[in-house]
Amino acid sequence: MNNMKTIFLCLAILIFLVGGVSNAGTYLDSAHGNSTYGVDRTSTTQYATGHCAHCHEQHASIGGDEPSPDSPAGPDDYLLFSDNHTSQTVNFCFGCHRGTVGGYQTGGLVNRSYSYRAGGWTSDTLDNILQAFTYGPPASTTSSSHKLDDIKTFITGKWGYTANSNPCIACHNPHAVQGDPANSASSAKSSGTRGYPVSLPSDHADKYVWDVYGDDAGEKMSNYVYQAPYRSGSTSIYEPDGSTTTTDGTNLTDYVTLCTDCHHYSPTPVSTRLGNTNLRDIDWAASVHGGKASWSKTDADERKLPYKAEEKNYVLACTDCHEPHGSPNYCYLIRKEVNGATTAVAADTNTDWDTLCTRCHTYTHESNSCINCHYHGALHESNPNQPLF
Amino acid sequence: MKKSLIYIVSIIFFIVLCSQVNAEVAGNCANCHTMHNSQSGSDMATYGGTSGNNPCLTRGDCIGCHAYDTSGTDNVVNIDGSLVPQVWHNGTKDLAAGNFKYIASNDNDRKGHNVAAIDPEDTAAMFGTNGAPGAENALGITAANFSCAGKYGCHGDRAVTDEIISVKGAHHADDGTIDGMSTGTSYRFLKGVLGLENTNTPWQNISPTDHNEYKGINGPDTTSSTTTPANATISGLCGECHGYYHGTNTTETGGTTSPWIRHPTDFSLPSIGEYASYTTYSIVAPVARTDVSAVSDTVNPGGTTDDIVMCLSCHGAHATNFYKLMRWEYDSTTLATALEGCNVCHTSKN
Repeated sequence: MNNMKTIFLCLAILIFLVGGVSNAGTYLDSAHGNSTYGVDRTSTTQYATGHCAHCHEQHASIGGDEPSPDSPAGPDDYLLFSDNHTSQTVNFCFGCHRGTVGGYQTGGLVNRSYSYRAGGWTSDTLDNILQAFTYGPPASTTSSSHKLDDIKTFITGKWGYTANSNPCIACHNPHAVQGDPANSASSAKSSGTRGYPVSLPSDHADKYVWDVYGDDAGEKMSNYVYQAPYRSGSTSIYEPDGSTTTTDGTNLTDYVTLCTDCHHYSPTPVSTRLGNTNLRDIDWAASVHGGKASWSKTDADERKLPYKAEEKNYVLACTDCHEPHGSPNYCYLIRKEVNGATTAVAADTNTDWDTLCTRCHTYTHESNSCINCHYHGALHESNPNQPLF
Repeated sequence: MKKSLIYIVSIIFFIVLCSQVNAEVAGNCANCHTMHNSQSGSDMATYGGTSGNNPCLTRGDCIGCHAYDTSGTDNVVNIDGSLVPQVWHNGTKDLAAGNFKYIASNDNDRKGHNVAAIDPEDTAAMFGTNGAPGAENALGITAANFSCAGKYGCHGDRAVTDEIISVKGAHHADDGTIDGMSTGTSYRFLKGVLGLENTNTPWQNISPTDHNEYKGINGPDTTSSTTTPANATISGLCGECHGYYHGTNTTETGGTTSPWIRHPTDFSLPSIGEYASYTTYSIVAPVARTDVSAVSDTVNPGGTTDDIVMCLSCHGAHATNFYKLMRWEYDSTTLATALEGCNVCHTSKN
């Protein structure tokens, strides 16, 4: 009887515990709101980890003084502890997402590249978001990054974004964003550490229901014919989380839909780095790397594993080739690691582009650079129904 | 016959007079006043300790009467028939504004308004250049003069320096109608402020159906002066000293709409998203109303009348047992506890 009472008591306690967990909302499920590894500003340590006050200052004053950082002094938009966005390297988010030194997050904050996290290329030394966005002009002409000012310009007036919006929130909901991997920054993703870091820009139109993207069944790359690439140095372990069996994209966010929210928007975003021209429209459904079946026998026969010749309609994820934030490759955010090995695109040369394209294709051109003809939106010169990319 | 008529008229006059003072202080004059501060050779102005002669012949100052027995457990004391709410007592049930006992030691300055007569503020920086955190106007408040009422306090006429004189006559005023026209006819003698004082459980907030109602408006479109609360709201009163936390200064508050640069007050909850779930009045994070004629337990976000964010949505007025006078344990090491009040409005951040 006593045993029965004990079991009943344990069950009752379990119900309460589980009930408490299930009550957790979006914010407490996020990386920022995690009570163990969430936001924890060095100047507001009186508050619990994950507390709103680490990012938001209700009065821009505590005890008569503004807690650090207080430069520029005074209150800031959205009650943030600093200006929301100033430039490519001065942004509220970079107050913490700047590595192990100089940030406001207690203990520092490490974030790795996609090649590291999904590709398993753990020799990548990049360890923070600020550094990733520092790639590219004007700091470097041999690397590249998403231009934050251009993003800000593009999203302003769309989907509920305003001129006051931080460009980082084009893709990330700060109250919902999750680590991927979660709380293991210097490890590649594993099935047990997955999270959902992005939110669909167009969903911001209703910001009160704006949730993470990729967590629902309809938000996976498995919506297409997807083949996960190999992880670095392996021919049996696959992106994005090191699975040896899951290769169909059921474990990968539909980055095609996410990225083409902007990159297949009419008119497309304007790039100040490309002379204030509109970026190429990425109509992925009409691209052979996307939803259009391959029309070239050469293409089908000259593929590297894990891509098979018999499949005519692979749809690649944008992140199979591109870093989302920045890359040490010279332009277009090309990943340093693709399909199991590294790339080296330091200049616009045939040799350099081959390091990317031959990660999946065996065929190479002898003289012309691949990208001269095979770029996003390129069509066969005599047959527009035959896309060259 | 003539004498009888005089008696009858006198009785009627007495009854009418009494009916008009239903909310005034009750009891014998001597409960609160002393003519000579002497009775059989002993001091009479002894409430809160021997205080000497006081203005208005009172037997104590604000603290003397309203912290009558700081070791006692009663939140309202009865002095020979006069009910006196206790802002500092040792009981477990705090009044609506809190309990000054929480700041009665130097370790707890952060938990309340540091009235000098209770425990002076130790951190000079707290008063800043103008005399209060977020002060928009020069107040002259210091650790030594910070008082309950008057120029350096919150209650009474803030144009009057002396705290007792600033509330002169207020306790005897007919406050059947709170119109803010005088100290005595203002909510809690906060001159110019409107509100509904809880008559069911006086001076306390007990439940969604048993609480004070605080005056608010939808639109922080007026800045308070040092003596007049903007729009007669409770937040407007706070703005007399903490103006940068309330008002229209766009460089400080961000104006009247998002993006706010400080947390908005005197502003209606949005009707959409996470705010729409705040539908039952919460005494953890209460809202103000544009109409304070009756107690209500409902909230209609976006209705612009009964869903007004105010300073007292987050803070206690006097002192609470929590950091920064918060209504909940904002600095709890347990995150869910720390966000308890935030989540009343920000319901998706739980």
